[in-house]
Amino acid sequence: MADLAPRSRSVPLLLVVDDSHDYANSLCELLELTTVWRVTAAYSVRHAIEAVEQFAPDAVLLDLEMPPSSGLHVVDALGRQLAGPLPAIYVVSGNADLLEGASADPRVRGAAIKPADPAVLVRWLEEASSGK
Amino acid sequence: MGLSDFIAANADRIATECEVFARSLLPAAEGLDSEALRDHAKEMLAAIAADMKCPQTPDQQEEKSRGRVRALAGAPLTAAQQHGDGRAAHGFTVIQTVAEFRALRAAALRLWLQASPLLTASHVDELTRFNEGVDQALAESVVRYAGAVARDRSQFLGVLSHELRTPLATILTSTRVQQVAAQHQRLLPEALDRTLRAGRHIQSILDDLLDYVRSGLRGGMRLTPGAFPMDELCKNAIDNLLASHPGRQIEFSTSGDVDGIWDEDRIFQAATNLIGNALKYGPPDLPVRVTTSQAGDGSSVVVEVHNGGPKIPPHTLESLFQPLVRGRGPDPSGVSLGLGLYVVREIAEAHGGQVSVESSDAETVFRLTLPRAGDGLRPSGFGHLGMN
Repeated sequence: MADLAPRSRSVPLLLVVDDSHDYANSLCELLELTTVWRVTAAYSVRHAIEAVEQFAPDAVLLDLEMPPSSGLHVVDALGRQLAGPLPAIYVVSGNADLLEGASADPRVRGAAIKPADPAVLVRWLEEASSGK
Repeated sequence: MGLSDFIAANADRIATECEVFARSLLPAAEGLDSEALRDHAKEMLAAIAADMKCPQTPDQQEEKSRGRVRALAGAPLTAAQQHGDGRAAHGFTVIQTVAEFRALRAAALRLWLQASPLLTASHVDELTRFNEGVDQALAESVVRYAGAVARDRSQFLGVLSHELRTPLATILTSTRVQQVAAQHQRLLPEALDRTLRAGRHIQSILDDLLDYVRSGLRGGMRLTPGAFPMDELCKNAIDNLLASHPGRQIEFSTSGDVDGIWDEDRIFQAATNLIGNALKYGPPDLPVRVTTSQAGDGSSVVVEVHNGGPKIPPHTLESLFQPLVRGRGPDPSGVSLGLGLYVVREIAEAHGGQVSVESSDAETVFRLTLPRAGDGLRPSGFGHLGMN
């Protein structure tokens, strides 16, 4: 995964964080096929934090239900661990209450019910690319 | 002796009779200790006896008879309310819960009449007050029970939605991937595999759900016995699970003769549920260990599934095989339908076997023990057994 390192990549990087390997991998494939972004996946909160530290992704798409962590605890953990600013954070969940809480959090750029409409994901990435 | 004084002085005797009756309320009462079987019986009797002593106006009596007694805001739960909560949590039916009050009423009156066979006019008033008190307790208990069941049902639907959502998301996304790839004349076999796995995952959730519904409707679990080796079946279940958990490690070992006659699909379902449960609740950086072996005398085959992680408290162990009991993760997002282990138990019992669990600081072990011969097959809690 050396080509994902921040200095050597020419395209933006998205980190998909979901404990379902199959869903995360599907999303990686779809977004790589339909956008200019490079996309990689982490399947646990610990691996997500390691990946953010190692690759400094431009955006993170986060499932809010990742037992034993949940909701914005994952964002909190990222905030505690990272020395620099957080990447653009987008969240998905099947839990409407979690989404409502996340939507009100200033660290979260976008929130959508899972499975998110691919058009919404593409729009998020366009916004992240343009720095909105 | 008056009835209220008799109840106050003999609450323990009456509660003992309530306990005996509660023990007969299967399957919910199975494995419950004396305290859980009584579940506030003495406290309810004390409250009823105290209420009988309190002066009561005709208006108050009228309100009580219409079930309009309202608790003060912020008042602690009554013993009857706590009993309703407890019975719902332990899986008693509403009919069983109501029947307990009939048993309590009958036990108190029978014991009292044995001790005080001569009734006077004042006893009639006491009997009336006693019945009002029991009815009030029954109403409080059933209202709490119904609330708990409604909450559980709501949570169940939420969890079902959650459990179906991820494989559904995989199917939708992988199908979209295949559409896009096809536009570029590309084939992505991995996307097809993921779609298939997600579909099978949904199927397994619905199978468990159907089994649960059938158990309630007494529709019966149909078993189709056939001869096969248990070690091969477990290896297949492991391969299947590893495909959807590629980062995980599952160690397998086998010893002795583990051939037998069972329903292969059902045992595959049980093994998948047990191993999947270990993957779900075991730490991701520790391997799950699966073993198959013959039991000491060779008449049974044992499947053990080991996972690391924190010890499961004894009170939680008791309820792991009950349906719709939440998962053992520390966070609400870790809840599951709680049907997987329930179905394992039903499958084990339908084969004349059993499933048990032990948990220590080092590991948690689920042990499925099945008689080797097909003649161990017998009807389970699902009702009749269809043999094809």
